Amino acid sequence: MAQPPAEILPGTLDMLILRVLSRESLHGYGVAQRLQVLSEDVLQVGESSLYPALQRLLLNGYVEAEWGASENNRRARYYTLTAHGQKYLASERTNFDRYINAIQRVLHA
Amino acid sequence: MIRQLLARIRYRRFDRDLREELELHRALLTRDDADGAARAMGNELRMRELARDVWVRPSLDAWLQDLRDALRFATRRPAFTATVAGVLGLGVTVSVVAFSLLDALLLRPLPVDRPERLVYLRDPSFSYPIVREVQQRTTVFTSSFAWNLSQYDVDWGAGLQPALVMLASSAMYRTLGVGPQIGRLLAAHDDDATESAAVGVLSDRTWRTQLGADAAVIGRTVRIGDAMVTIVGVTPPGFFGVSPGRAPDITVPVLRAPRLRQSDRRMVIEPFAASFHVMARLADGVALEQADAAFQVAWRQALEAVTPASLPPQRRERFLGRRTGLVSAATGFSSVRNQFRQPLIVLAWFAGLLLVVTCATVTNMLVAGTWGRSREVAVRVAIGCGRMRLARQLLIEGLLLATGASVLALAIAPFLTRWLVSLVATSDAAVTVGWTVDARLLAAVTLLVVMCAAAFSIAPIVLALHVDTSTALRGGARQPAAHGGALGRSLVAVQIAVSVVLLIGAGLFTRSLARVLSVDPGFESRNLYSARIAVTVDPRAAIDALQEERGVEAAAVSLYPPISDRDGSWTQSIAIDGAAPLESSRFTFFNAVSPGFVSALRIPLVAGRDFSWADAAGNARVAIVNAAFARRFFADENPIGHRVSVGLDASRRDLTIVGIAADTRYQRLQEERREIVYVPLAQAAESVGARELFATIRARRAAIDDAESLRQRIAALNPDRAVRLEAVSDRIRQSLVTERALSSVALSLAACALVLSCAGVFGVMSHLVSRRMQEIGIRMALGARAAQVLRQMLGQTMAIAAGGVAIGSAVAFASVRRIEGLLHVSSSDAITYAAAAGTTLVLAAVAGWIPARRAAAIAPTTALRAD
Repeated sequence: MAQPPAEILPGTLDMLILRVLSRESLHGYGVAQRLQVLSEDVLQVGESSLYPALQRLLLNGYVEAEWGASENNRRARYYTLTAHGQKYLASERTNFDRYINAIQRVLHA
Repeated sequence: MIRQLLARIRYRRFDRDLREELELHRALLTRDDADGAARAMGNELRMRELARDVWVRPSLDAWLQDLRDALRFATRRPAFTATVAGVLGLGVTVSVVAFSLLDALLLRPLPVDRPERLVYLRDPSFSYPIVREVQQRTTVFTSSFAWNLSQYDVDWGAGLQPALVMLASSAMYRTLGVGPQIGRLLAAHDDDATESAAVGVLSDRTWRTQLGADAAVIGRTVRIGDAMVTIVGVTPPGFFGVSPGRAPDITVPVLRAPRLRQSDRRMVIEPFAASFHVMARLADGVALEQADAAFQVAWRQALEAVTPASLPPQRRERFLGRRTGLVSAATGFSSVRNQFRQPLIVLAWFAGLLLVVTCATVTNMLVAGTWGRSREVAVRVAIGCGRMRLARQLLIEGLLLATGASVLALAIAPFLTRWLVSLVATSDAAVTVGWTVDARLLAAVTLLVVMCAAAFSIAPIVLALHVDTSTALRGGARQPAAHGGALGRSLVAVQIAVSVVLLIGAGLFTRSLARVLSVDPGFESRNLYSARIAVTVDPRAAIDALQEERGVEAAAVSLYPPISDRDGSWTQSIAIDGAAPLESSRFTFFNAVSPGFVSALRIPLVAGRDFSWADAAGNARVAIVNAAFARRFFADENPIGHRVSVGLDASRRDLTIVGIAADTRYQRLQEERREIVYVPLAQAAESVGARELFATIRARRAAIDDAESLRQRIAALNPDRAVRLEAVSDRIRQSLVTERALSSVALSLAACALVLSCAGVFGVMSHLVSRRMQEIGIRMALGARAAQVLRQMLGQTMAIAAGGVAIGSAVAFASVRRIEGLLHVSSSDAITYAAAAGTTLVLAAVAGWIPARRAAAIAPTTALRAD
């Protein structure tokens, strides 16, 4: 049996969503799917964290939302990364890399 | 914050979008992974709330929730809410009215262009020639104007009636930066030629009330005094001239004054008349001190220019020594203000104190209310309501109550204002202060609401925070007793203390009024009437005509009526038997009277004789002096045959004293005893520029027989003026407007405070009794008698009341010195203090007696069975 999906590290969800959206515009479910696929089923995000996070990103202007048709022909809200979001993602990534490296160094010391 | 509010407003759509998005999510999830769907099917509601919270911060939501709760709570107990709001509304109303009047008369800047750059000349009345000189010599003003307000009889088209006429230089409107509403305002050419047509500018108020806001009014003529005046324009609404409380009905150029009233010619040509006030706008960039320094130079030059070189050096010196200076006129210049400044400040203090009493009352009511809610409070705390949230809710409730009270206050205030103004306005001295709601007032009301809410919410909040959750939940009737009980008692003591202060103040004013009213005017005011008659009428013919009336016992004519009050006075410095003139600070008062004046007023003649018609213009000059005059200048000597000299040098006249009359009050009842000289009317004509004369009529009975016929006769004697026939007792009453207003207002407010305090005593004691029901029951079961219980409970009441009375008396004693100027009794008048303390103690005892009786009537069995 596969290992149970891991909790997403606190504070990283926004960055992960932005990263996913940096490739293409997706609706909420798409974001969750893509996260799961890209992380090879390790990261699973529940709707109760996903949608508040998306709203937060909207509020801060990192993403834009637009209503479009989904694959099953229902109305779906598609999220797109903004230039502002791009910048934010880049800075978050740098920070996160430094942070992870630091942890790694400590653990492997 | 704005985005949050927007999100709130768009909440419905937001929520719908979110739900739709979520349904899609679920649908896709079910398609891909049937098992996972069930697992992920978390709490949808929770998720939606979380998503929404991103936009709408929970705090705002909670505030709105609290507001809803407070509203619900208020409407659930309508009687309680109405009582609290009503009590508070009373206090807020009085404060709002006091602020409104204070602001209108003392504080609010003139509603004109940059009022802070306006100045007026201190020491405040000047002659027109000197004003002209000053205007020509001063460079620190961009413009300046002279003005004066006086009462004239004006015929707007429906008969003569008194109106306030402003005489002003045309530069007034330019100086103030005011344009016409319709027509034109005064122009420079109106100032020049004395002979051109008289024109006038109407105030907006008069245009509306007297002339029906008719735009065709331009070009119409109205009669003012002796002249027909053409209306050329109307000032904008809101503009009331420069004197708060004294808004003119119509404004006429200064130099037209003699046409309105022949006798006013002196006013514009005589260099030492004191008829005009001067206001000016400072040149840009000139500070007041700078301007004043420059002005002083111009002032001295102007004095030199108008003072004739021919004057004797001593008098010349005196005229040249006159000083004045510039004072800021940002809030205007008003005689009404000067008259009512102190009473208004007293009113403001009284209002503030009443507000303290009402806040204390409300606190006590809310505290009692919180006790009643201790169960609710406990439940809320138990299910996790934060104490801060609880405090906030109580504060919101307080704010809501205060807001309700202020709405009530704004509804009542106009009526109260009208009543207050009607107390001080008399027929011949209109006080034009109305109720207006403006930004300043609203700001004041808001501040008041917040202050009150904060003041009376503190106690319930503290109390709620100390609610013992477990006891309250268990349903114990036992409330946080000790703490709240002491609070209630001290609040009541404060209320009583404040009430005592108010009562003492009101008592002092009332005693002053009574003292003044009991003053003997020196003549018999009963059945005595006075009426204006034209200065051109022959006094003898007038007296004969009046005495033909059936109800008239005697009549006389004089320059000033008994209790002259606003009709003014005539003073001169005098010398005795040709000695050097007395440079005394005290002038002697003069009145010119016809023969029979002394007897018509029933002033006892102490010695000598009354005037007769033989004391005519060409004959020997004579005078009657009053007893005070005789005492001051002649001590034990007999003054009859001695001479009184008036005027100086060439204009000096010697009057031989032929009689001594008893002392009378000249202008007001409350004045000091004055030295009075009566001269025959026929011999005074040339020295007095009289505008009008007064007939004094003694009626046979209180109601004049056939008053209408008398009025017609007076109208015939005074064809150009409205008939003003008034009882001298009414003149006395009118001369006491300030005293009467202060007394009735202070008494009303003190009575309100006292009633609230007694209600407080009643409430606190009732509460105490119901809380100690059990204990009293036990004691009675153990043999305590009803009388003992009654005495004990009453004792508690009296302890509170006595404490309050003691503090209140001490505070009053320390502070009444400030109102000494308004009093005619000593500010430490023992009777007033005793009466205030006695009244308060008796009423408190009555209020405390009712619950005490209830305590004494407790049946031990019932009390023990409860809980």
